[in-house]
Amino acid sequence: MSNEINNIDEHDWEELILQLTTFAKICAERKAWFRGGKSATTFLGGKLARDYAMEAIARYLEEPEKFDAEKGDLRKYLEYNLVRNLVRNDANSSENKCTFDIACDTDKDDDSLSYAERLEPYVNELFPDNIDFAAISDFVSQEIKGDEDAENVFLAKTTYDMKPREIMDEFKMSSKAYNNAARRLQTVYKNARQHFSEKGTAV
Amino acid sequence: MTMNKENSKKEFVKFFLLSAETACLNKEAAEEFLKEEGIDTEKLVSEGLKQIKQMQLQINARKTEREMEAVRQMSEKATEWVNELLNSKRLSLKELVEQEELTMSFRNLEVMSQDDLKAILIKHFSLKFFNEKEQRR
Repeated sequence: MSNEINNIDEHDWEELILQLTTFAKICAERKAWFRGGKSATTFLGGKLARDYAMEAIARYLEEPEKFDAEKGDLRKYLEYNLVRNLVRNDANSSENKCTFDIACDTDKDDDSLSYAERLEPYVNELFPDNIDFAAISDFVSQEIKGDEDAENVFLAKTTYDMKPREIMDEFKMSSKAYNNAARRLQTVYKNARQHFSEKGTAV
Repeated sequence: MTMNKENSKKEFVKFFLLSAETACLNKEAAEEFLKEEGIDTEKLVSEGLKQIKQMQLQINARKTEREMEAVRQMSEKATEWVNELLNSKRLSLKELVEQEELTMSFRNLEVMSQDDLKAILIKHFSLKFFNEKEQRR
């Protein structure tokens, strides 16, 4: 019995619940980019972000042996499964058949990749191709103009896909400066989503 | 999609992930994000933890059920085995003790009642078959 209880106790579930629900909410709000803000919360048959988070946790608890700690931490593993589930549900929902086709045909799961690397192709599927991503990029660039740290982090991440430690080393940033820049970019992301949502669509 | 559009989308996805990562960075960041979205984080966490404990209990119960079923099957198999053994004219308790590395001496087994002997052997073979099955997994 003690071994079974350890499975719960070895993880900080409180933190994971908060982080996963946050992640699910952000993924869910992607529709604001092409449907407008009001409909952003009506998605996937009313399933709440929390439900997706708990479903990812439930799948892990059922088969904990599937988690490979060498591919990333538990949070990344759960996020990866969450997005994968989200994309597959999207592909099968009747809602989707009226909007755009989600290419959820191929098995994108390359077992040699880390969970973070496996995440990206699925996130890619969350957004339709006909969004004007260049316009979003221009908007962001304008918002962060003159903010050197934010500009560096944005460029390093989006163009060169550098990791946080690499960015800090490259631009000789402290972790505090990096985190502050990342938070400002998070705010810019929200503003951009708001801006394009109010316009009606970024399409 | 043109190459430029493809690149723009790739950059956007990375920006999205950066934003998401920042929001989920730790407990405090996630809590702040959710509170700003109007979510009762205390309730979210307490219900979530309760759900996790329930899930774990259910999983453990199913596991115990499977293990008990496996033990029951091994016990049945062992009973059948021992019955055949005891009915065999070729049975030599001395050889059995050596072969199975029983901790009891065969002289003690010799003076036991048939029922006691049967019970000890069933116990021994149940464990043996169970361990063999576990090793094969």
